[in-house]
Amino acid sequence: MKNKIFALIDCNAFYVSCERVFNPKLNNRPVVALSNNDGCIIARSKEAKALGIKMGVPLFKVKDIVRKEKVHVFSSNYTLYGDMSRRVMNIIAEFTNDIEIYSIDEAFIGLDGIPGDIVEYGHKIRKTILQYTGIPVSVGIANTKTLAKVANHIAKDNGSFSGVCSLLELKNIDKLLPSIEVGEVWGVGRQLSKKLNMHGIYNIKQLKDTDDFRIRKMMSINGLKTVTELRGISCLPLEEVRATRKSCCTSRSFGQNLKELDDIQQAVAIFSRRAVERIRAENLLTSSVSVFLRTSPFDKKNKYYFNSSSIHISTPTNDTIEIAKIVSRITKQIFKPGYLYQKAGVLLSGFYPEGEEPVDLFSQDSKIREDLMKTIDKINTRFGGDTIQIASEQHLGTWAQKKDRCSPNYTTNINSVLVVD
Amino acid sequence: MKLTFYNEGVECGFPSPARDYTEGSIDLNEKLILHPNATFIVRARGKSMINAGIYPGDLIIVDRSIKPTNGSVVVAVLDGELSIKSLEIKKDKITLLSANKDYSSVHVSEEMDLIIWGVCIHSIHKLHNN
Repeated sequence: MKNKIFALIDCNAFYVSCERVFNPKLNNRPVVALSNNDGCIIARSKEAKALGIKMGVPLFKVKDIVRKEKVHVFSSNYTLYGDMSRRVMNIIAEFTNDIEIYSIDEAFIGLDGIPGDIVEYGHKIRKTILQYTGIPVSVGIANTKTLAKVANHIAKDNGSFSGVCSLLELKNIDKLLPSIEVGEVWGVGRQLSKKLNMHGIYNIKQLKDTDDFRIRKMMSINGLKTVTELRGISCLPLEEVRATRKSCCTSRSFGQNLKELDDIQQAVAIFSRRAVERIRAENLLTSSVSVFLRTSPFDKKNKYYFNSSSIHISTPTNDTIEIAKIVSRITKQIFKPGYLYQKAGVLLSGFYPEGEEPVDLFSQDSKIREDLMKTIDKINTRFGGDTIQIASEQHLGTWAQKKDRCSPNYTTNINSVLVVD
Repeated sequence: MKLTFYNEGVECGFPSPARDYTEGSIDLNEKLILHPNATFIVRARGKSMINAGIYPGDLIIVDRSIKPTNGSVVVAVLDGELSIKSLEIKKDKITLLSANKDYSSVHVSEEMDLIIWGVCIHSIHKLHNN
């Protein structure tokens, strides 16, 4: 059989790049984006990396560098990033139907049967995305997904490739691999790379050349697949259809600690609605609803409290109102007064595809409710996520997230579009 | 007891004679936006492009997939500053023209950093305040 060809297209510092499209003054300047609630740094421009700002550090730890070097800091604007991601993915899909959207800023594609020079084709995809959206991407091309990811890493790290690196062409892969740490391999996390280091395996070349017996002992069966892929034999196909999810969780830290049951009820009502919207978009019904509440585990002055509880539903549902009622009931049950709560979450699980749920003989006809739910989703999609809410949510309670440095929703709200002289 | 909803509306009398001639409605998105993935909307501020039909507050539809040519109205980024200008390309000389005599035009020199952000393809101007 002929070898397969994969490419990984990965947006460079995606969140930062999104901000730069609408704020070109930020080009060539250090820029970072923060996680939910303005906690940690989750995206860095090249210039910010060069200042030694590490991935995942809390903002307060680097506040001196930020001030001194005038680093531009953004709260994450997922509305904007989501819309820009949709554009990038649509553009990739115009090149090929063989696409696996792997995350908000990465997609694998299959390149079998592409006529002409593959690297040139990679450059064409890259140029088109950059011109159409302003987002720079790197393209890694190879015979396996794992190697495509390695190629992408090389393309990003090494300017001489101009953003596209193919390991198909390079006869001397083995010359490039020793300079890349094992931790960069797809599927090798921090724990595993520590373990490999202990066994004397530091770079990708060493990992690739380790015999199967040792690999199995150190890395389990999935690890063997990874290593086989590093050797150029494809084990992981494109997953065009995502496996049905097992659970759906919405949980957040509150902007500030909450004491009152009413405030917490408002927050969990929103988490509940968002979770239900997600499963409804996937045509799933839930049969189990859980809620958890906790105080800060790092607060040394006050006592730690965590509690959670679940309710099983005999008639699986994706009805926002019904689930909101259950969530409210559980929250009341697990709430204990006198604590400062920091985080809560709603978890839905026990899914059935719509139409395949067990029938409850005593349930009422829910067609009218179903129509209502569809209408609510339509309105919230059209006019913005929170237009129609369940009454218990109310608006912007004290729990609302910290989002002090958020950019406008340039692409999704007509009142927030870019203003140009 | 069960109530039934009729989503379709109930017809009385004869069906409309126009019924077989309906074409759907005019979709402005479809007419004004040719490349949705590459199209962005911006709002004009200032009067520098008034003679090109762009007034303060107008919504401008910008298509990034179109190649700018001589005479294109563009969103330009000159040394990091965004502006709407008319692009003049003469041999290898590029000028960003204003469309208002009170505003200056800029000859783009070698040292300047010019990026054409996108090509303006429509302006939406409000004529009636409601």
